[in-house]
Amino acid sequence: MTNKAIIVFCPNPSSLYTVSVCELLMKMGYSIDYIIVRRFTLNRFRAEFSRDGKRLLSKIWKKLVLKEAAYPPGSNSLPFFRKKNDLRIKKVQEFKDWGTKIQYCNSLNDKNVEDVLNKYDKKLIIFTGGGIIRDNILKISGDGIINCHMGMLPRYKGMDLPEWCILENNSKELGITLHFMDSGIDTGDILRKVPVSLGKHKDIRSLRNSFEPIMVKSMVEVVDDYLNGRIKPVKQESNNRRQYFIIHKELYKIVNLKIKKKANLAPSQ
Amino acid sequence: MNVQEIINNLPSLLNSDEFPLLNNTFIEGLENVKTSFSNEFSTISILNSLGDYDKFRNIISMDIVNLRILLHFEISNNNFHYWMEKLLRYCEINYVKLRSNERKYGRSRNESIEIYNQIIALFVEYHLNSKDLLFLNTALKLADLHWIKPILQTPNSIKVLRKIKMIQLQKILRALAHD
Repeated sequence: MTNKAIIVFCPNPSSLYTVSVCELLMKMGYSIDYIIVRRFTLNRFRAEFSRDGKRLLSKIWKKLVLKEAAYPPGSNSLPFFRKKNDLRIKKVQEFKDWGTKIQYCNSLNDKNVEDVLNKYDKKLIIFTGGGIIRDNILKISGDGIINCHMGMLPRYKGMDLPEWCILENNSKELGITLHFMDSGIDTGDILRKVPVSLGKHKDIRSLRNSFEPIMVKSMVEVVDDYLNGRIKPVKQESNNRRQYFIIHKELYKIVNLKIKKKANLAPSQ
Repeated sequence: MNVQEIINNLPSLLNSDEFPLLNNTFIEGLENVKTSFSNEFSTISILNSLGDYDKFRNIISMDIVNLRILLHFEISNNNFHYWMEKLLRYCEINYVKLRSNERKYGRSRNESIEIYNQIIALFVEYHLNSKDLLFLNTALKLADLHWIKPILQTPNSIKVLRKIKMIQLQKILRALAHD
């Protein structure tokens, strides 16, 4: 379907997001040439703990221990989406049976990752997590690295963006942005923006869960559209950009209060 | 009130309620600042002394007081917003190593406590002034740092400053929750 190699950057061997994107692409007829998986090392734990603090522990518990069991039953979560689309692969390792090569690394900027990328002249990289990408990788990324950002660019850069949108009473700006990565933070060319409705979610966790199937679906659609020349990346406007940081627990509580209030006010369907 | 009027009236303002920055009821007690401010005032340079943002290691608490004064009296200064953004980014990006950075910069414990308490006050005041929640967010995070909390030996004024600031933060959060 394409003469370009498809390489996927993956944050951990059992990332539901990664396996869902890869399996959907394969169902559409694409072959995934490589999946590059970042190991979870002590150094990585230290680096991420210094960024995320205690909430890293709940992230690990949810993503590495509970996995699908971490999601409450509901029609808007990733496990439901996987069931609906008959996605059965649960571990990156299983893609070996379909001819995909797996490369493990301590950091996505390592020399062994460079070696993999240098094997292909024409390539498209799909980023499904795993940390900051440095210039050595960006330079040899072929067409580029597509990322799905959990906020509407260029206005919302950084972290915890669904929370910030709600806190700023700007829920119409809830959404995701598919863009190419560059050396800045969320500053690369935009491929597509997808708004997400606040709906009747009772808390931020449930809202965040509803983002995940949309991210998988949008990533696959954008990769397909891009490889078939149906979309072109567009430069971001540099004005009206703001970088947001991890939200404080007291403000997080207020976000949940605001969601609850809106859910109670929303007309029932 | 323009800069010159503030400078001319500062000695009387220092002891009056018309100068809310130094008034305990505004946001927090700043007795310690008041003392250093009075000393600095003799040079009549403070209100114009905000230069280019250099490095965080070179910042002194008077720089932050200066920003608070500029903010409070709405004195226009080209560097003001640049300073605010730089301070915010420094505190966020270096959040987990703020304490070790302070040691590296060679500041005493009390100097560090004072600088960070001034920054918290500045960020809260800036939030009240601009409604920018990012500054409130960082102020809350800084207020959580246990090493910024006053110790027995710190001047009483810092303890007062912190106590009033925490009450103020709670008030702001309550108001936000009902917004």
